[in-house]
Amino acid sequence: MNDLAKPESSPLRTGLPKWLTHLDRLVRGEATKLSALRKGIIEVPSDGLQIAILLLGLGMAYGMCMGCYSLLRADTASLLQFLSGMVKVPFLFLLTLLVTFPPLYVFNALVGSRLSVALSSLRLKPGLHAAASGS
Amino acid sequence: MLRRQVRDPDTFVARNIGNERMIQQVLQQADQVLRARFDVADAKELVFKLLKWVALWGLAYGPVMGSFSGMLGDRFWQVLYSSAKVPFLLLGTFLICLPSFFVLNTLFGVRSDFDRAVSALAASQAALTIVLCSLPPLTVVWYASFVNYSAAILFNGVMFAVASWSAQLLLRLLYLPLILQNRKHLLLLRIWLGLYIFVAIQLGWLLRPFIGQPGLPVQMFRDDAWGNAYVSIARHISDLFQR
Repeated sequence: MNDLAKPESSPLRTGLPKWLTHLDRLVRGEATKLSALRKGIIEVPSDGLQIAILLLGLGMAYGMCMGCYSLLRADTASLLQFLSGMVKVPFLFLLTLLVTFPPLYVFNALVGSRLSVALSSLRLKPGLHAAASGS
Repeated sequence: MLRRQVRDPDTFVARNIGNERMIQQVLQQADQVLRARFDVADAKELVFKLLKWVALWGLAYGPVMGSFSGMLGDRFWQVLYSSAKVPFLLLGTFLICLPSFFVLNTLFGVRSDFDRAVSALAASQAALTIVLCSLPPLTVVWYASFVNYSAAILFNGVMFAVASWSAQLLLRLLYLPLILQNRKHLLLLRIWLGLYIFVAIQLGWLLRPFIGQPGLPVQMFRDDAWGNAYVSIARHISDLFQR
């Protein structure tokens, strides 16, 4: 994954926080344009942490909405159910990804796709490189 | 150990980098096999390297396969047995079939291409093992969702079938130049597949149990291991119709 290309200036995005701009570009498919995919890149921030946190937050937000059902029942109101819903939705997506990604990667490699996320995501962090060269 | 790592942060970082590089190298090798990006100039060296990878990667699926009845106490031995038996099954089948295939290649007059043919077969074995290594998460989900032992056997059979079928994609790609050069290779490839399936089923039967039936003691091999898989299958079918 390359460093984030500067988001295209759009009057609609003026004044939006940076994280919302990234999300907007992802949802509109601008970060995963065919031209970028052909180059083997996805135009998201280089460390992906901001997007990961954002997606985690969105998953938790939906989990909270789901868990509201248990909060709004007067007789069986349960804060724990609400909280567990909040935690479980991001876990659901993460575990599904963990289960399905290895076969997806392997079958893509077999049929000749250029998917190489697994290898690029294992790139060493710059901090570790610097520490190693300094030691 | 952790305390020592904290005291010596430089060593800790260097070790982490070493581990990451090792994982990256292993993944890169797997990627190269799947994409058929390897040098076939020295067939002998390539075959040994591919078979070594089969042995190493084969260790990954077995533990998951053998964890159906749990991993604690005696059941941990089943995990270890299965871990050792999967590479043995894959390599054993390959090595048992190889001499017959060599003789057939000689009889058909294509012995000069034998090194290329074996390289292709070894690469497909490596691909089969890599595909199998990518499937344990699915097996874990299956084990967590269904408690039926027969269903677990069937599921693992399907996983092996999927891995074998996927490896065929690579095998056909690597065998294509040989087939275009001489049509006899197509017939030899079909004979190899028949032979391989026949031996794999019987060897799998001899090496059972791979999954470990709940309620039965943990065993490396069954007491009645020296049977015939095909006779047993025929008996099962016969029983099915007699009921």
